[in-house]
Parts: sequence; structure tokens; C-alpha cells
Amino acid sequence: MIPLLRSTLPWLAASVFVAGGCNLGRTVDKVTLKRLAPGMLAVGDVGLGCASGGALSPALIALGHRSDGKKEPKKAAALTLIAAGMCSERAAWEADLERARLRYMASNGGPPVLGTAMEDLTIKAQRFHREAAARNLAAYQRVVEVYGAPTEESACPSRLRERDEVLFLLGMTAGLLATLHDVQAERSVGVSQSIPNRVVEGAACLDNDRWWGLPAALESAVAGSLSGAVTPSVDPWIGLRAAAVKGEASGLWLARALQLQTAYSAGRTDDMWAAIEAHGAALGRSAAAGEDDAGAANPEYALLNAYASEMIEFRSDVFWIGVTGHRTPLGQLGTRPPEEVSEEDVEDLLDGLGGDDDGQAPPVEAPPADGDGPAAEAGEASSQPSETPPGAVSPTPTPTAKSSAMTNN
Amino acid sequence: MSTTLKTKNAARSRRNRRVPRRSLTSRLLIAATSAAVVLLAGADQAQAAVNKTLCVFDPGGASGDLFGQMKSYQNQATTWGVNLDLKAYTDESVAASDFRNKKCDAVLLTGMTGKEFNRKTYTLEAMGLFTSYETLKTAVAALATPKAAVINRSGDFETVGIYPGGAVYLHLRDRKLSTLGALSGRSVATIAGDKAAMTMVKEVGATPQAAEISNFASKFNNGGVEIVYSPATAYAPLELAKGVGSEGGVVRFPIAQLTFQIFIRSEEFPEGFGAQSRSFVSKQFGTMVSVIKRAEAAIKPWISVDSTAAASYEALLGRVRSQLVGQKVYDRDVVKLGERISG
Repeated sequence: MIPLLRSTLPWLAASVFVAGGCNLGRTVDKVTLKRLAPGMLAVGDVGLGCASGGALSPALIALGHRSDGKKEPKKAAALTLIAAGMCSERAAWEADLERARLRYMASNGGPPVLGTAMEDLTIKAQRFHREAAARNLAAYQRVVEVYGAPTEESACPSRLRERDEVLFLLGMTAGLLATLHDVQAERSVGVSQSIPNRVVEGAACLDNDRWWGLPAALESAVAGSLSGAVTPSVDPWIGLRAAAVKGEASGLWLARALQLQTAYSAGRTDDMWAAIEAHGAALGRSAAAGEDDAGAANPEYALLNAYASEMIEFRSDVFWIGVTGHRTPLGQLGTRPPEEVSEEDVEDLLDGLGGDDDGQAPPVEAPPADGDGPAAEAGEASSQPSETPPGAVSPTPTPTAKSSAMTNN
Repeated sequence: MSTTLKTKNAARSRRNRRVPRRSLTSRLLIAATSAAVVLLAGADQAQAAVNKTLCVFDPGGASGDLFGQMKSYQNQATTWGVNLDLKAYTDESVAASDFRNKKCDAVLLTGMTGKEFNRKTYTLEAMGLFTSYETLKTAVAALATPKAAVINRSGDFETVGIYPGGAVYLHLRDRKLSTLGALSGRSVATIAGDKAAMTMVKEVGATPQAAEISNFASKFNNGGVEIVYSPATAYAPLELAKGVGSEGGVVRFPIAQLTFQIFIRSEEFPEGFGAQSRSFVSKQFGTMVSVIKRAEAAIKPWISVDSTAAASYEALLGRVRSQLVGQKVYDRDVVKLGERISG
């Protein structure tokens, strides 16, 4: 974070100085979208991105403090608030994972008092969800104010330059995230429930091909997670899959993350796994590809990819913890946790085996007196405990791939 | 070797080992510890946690308000020795079917869909029975008492928790339809399987139009039907304001109360689970009501109902209730309970 702040704060100070009596907010906005945003979005580190967002947001908002927000650089503030929201979201995920781990312990012989600790973590997560909702809502509101859309009267902004399109699209995503987090926080922020519909209308103003399938993914996400809210142009699940594939082809993974989030909301376990596995494959392709090859992650938006990947990793972690008690091991994002092999599944394999002797190791010849030579090695070996008991079948048969009993806990 | 000789040798062997005699205190201590271990093991067995699956219907799925509430329920259930896996459903009929087919050990459904598991607690949704959240809260609290066990049990099934889902209001495309006399011949979207709504629509001489949860809003917003009934929580997400427009409105008279109820098969859960669960859930009433009230506050085109109009609504809904009690759709005892509470 420090290098980013070092490069950003002098620039902000210079902007403020140069702008002088001019419209300070507008100047900061202009330079932010031209210089700061591309730089921030290219840093593929969610921790850095969200920390800088948290640090800069108050400073940017402060610029409009004495003018009732009129002189606030709203575009810049929206961008940093979105980044700051990622910090809150991360903290909420962490509390959710801690709770999932306690739940695993409770389900595996832990004491009932774990339920009280789980409730504490539920409340902890709710507080961070509330913070995430508030930050994303603040970002969404600024985007709507700056571009005049989407509102009940007007779905699309009258004019958008390409660099504004990114912010507008991120603003729409923030609107949806604000809604989702507010529900997790018992609607304590009071995010308007009509926002998802506005988000769908706003996203439709953008070119789906140009923006990595994300506009279509937003429409399908709302349709898929809230039956009857919108009449989607395609089946939401087909739409989400297509959007995710399009996103990966253009090196952006946000549509895949939305597919997973929507599948989670709808309790569609198979779709969740499909999304997690597809993301694992995309990570592999990206690692193997050269910068300009198909499937390579888009370096200009590395922050968005890192965020999408964390979102997917969180859902994977919940599943892993549910089965193993720990989160997804490094390098295994995209793979399912191993199923335990039940005795019933394998005991038939042992029928008729191990019945020819009494389970003792074969007799070993007495070592020569001096202890040298192969016989001595054999003698030493026979004193070690055997890793595989005589008569046992080794290695343990791998269970056939089963649909894990994954739930939405 | 004879048995006698074996015994003598064993006795000699024990003496030869020279085991030091334990003091009385240490022997008592050992005995007490052993007893404690046995008792604890027994207690452990008695309280051994069980793992169960709770299928949750929520229109918003795992990202919905109810599902959020179910996480707290899940936490509490852990303290009662029942570890619940939550499964989200956005299609209520699938959730009900999975419970019926024992793919879920417990299920959260609307009272209407859950009536096949317990008609008595479904009756809380009876037309006009509760016109305020306070009276419904009293009824839910009464049903959480041990005396109400007979109402909560229904064959193999048991209702172990009742959450408020919001008062149901009539939404009109034309506010002139707010009096009962004006409803004759008008089209009302009637959700499939909702016998109570069908009876009411016929009673006022309106025309039922078959609809589903997934399409009633679009039918209303597109002008396919003139009237829908819905809780306020659906108003913003389903954009019912589009159908209401500038000439319509929402009649501020609760024609019924939507509820969400948790059902289990009693035999499959530890004894006492139902009572603990009902007691906990009844205390969560206020949390859900505050979400509902916020949604109601966001509705602008309310149509007020004066006392004369309210009396005619009450009379109509009372007639509908009587018919449905006669047809055994509603439970007579729960209707009586409701009428006692509502005065």
C-alpha cells in the first residue's frame, strides 16, 4: 500500500494545488480516471487495492465536505469506495469461514457450546457485511449521480467515454453487491430493493462483448437469484455460463464469480462446482499462457481478476471446510475436497484376502555375528513397524468421484 | 492343572507382586472418578449431537432474508445438540417435495405450501384472522407454549417454528377498485393451489386468473390482471410499482398474514427439540417484522381504509373463513384462538 500511496498522495496534492479555485472535484475526477484508476486496476493485489481505497476515500470525500458534496470528486470517490468495500467483504468472508470451521467441529463431535461461538461469528460477519453494503451503496449512488442513470426515468447515461464505461460498469456491480451484503446484514443499511432492477437496466447500456460478458452476467445474476424480479432475455443459467466463458476468453473472471455467487444464492450445487472447477482451469490456462495468448489474464484489470478469484476461493473454502475442516489448500482451487472412504465401500474388496498366514512377517534369517551385509539390513528392517499391515490392500482405493454433500452453510 | 491349583497359583502370584495397599482416601477417590467417568459417558451418550439437513425456501435463496435468519437458527440448534446443514431453495415446490421424499430432515416453507404437513398451523394464514403483527405475535407465542403441542403435531410431522412473512395486501392498477363492491368482474391473479384466495375471489364476484409466484408480478405489471395480492416485501424487488402506476394503489388492509414455518418429522429429532425450537423462533418475531415494516414504509401509494370499509372487509373475510373451516381447509381450533386474540 505504501508505494501506491507514495505515488498517489503527491499527485492528489498537486491536483488540488493546480485546480486552485477551479472545480476541484472535476479536476481530480479527470486525472483519477486518466491516471489513477488504470494504475490501481492493474495492481493484482486485493489487499493493496482495498487498503488504498480505504485510505483515499475519506480524503476524497473531504474535498466536498464544505460544499454539501458538490465539489467532491465523485468518480474518484466511487472508485476508492468500491476498493474499500473489498476490505469489508474480505473481513466478512473471514468471519464466515471461522464460523464454518466451528460448524465442522460441532458436526464432528464438538460440544454444543460451539453454537454460541458460531452465533458470535454470525454477528461479526453481519457487521462487516453491513460495512460492505454501506461502502458499495455509497459508490453506486455516486455513479448514478455523476452519470444521471440508471434511474426510474432514464436507464442509460446520455454519453459515456470508454474510461467512464469502466467506472459505470463497476458502479453497477457495486449496486448489486450493496444489495447482497445488506441482506446478509439483516437489511440494516436499508439498500433500496429496486436497485437490482436498475442495475440490470444500467448494465444493458454497455457492450457485452467489450466488457467481458459482465453486463449480461449482471442481468442473469438478478434473474437467477430473485425469481420474478426481471424477465430475462435468456435462461439465467445459460446466460451466466455464456457470460463466464466470454469473460474468460477475454481474460476477465468477474462473470465467472457472479455465476458462482448466483448459483450459491439459488442453492445450485452442481453449478457452483462447475464454476469453481472452470475457474481452476482458467487459472491453469492463464499461468501457462503468454501475455497475448488466448486465456491469459488481462493485466490491465489485474485487481478485478484477483478480486474475482478471491470471491471464488471463498466459496471453495466453505466447501472444503465443510468436508475436511480446513480451507482450500494452496494450488488446489478448482479441485474438490477428498471424500472419506466409508468402510462399507471398501470392505468387500478385502474378502478372501489375508487368510493364508497368521499375519506374521516372514521369518528372517539370523544376522551374521559381525552385523555386516544384506542380512543385517534385513534384520534392521524387520525391527521397524510395517507401514502396511500384512494382508491389507495397499494403496487405499480411491473413491469414485461423488457429488459432495455441499450445502449453503 | 486343576482349577483349584490354578486359583491357588494366581493368589500366590498376586501376593508375590506386592502391590502396595491403597489408602482408603485414594480408593474413594478412584471410585468417585470412575463413577464420574461413567456418568459423563452416559451424559455424553444422552446428548450425542445429531446431524440433520434443513431445506430452506427463500425467494432470494441463500442470499435472502429468511436464509440469513436460518443461520441464527442453525447456531441455536447446535447448542441443542442438533447440527443442521442448510440447503437453499428458490422453488418452494421442490423444497416441499424434497422434504416429502426425505431428502431433507426439516424444511422451511410458507404456511400455505406447508399445509400438507400441518393444516393447523397453516390456519394462522386464515383470511382476516390477524390484522396486526401484534395479534399474530401473540398467537405465535401461544403456539410456542407446551400446552399447544397438540396443535403443532400433525401425524408424523411437527411445526417447530413460525416466522412472520408479512401482511398480504391487495395491489390495484386502478384505485377505484378499493371498495369491495367495485371488485365484481375484475381479474385477480390467484396463485395455483391457494384455495383460500380462490374462495375470496369468488365471494366478491371477481374473476380468478391462474398465476404462479414467478409470474404474477409480470402479469400485473403488463396489465394482464388488474389486481394481485402480495406482501410488501415483494413490492420493490418485483417492481409492483410499475403495475400500480399513477392511478393504482395498495389497499392498507391486511387480508391475511403470510408465515414461514419449519416442519420436521418428530421421531427423527431428539426429544424436546420441537419445544426448544418453537420457544427460540417465537422470540425472533420482532427481527423479521422490522424488515417487513421497512418494506411497508417504502410503499408510497397506500390507499387508506376507513372504518366502514374496514368493517365490510372484515365481514367478507369472516364469511370466507367460515366457508373454509367448513371445508376443513382451516382448523377450527386455531381460528377460535385467532378470534379470541383479535377480539
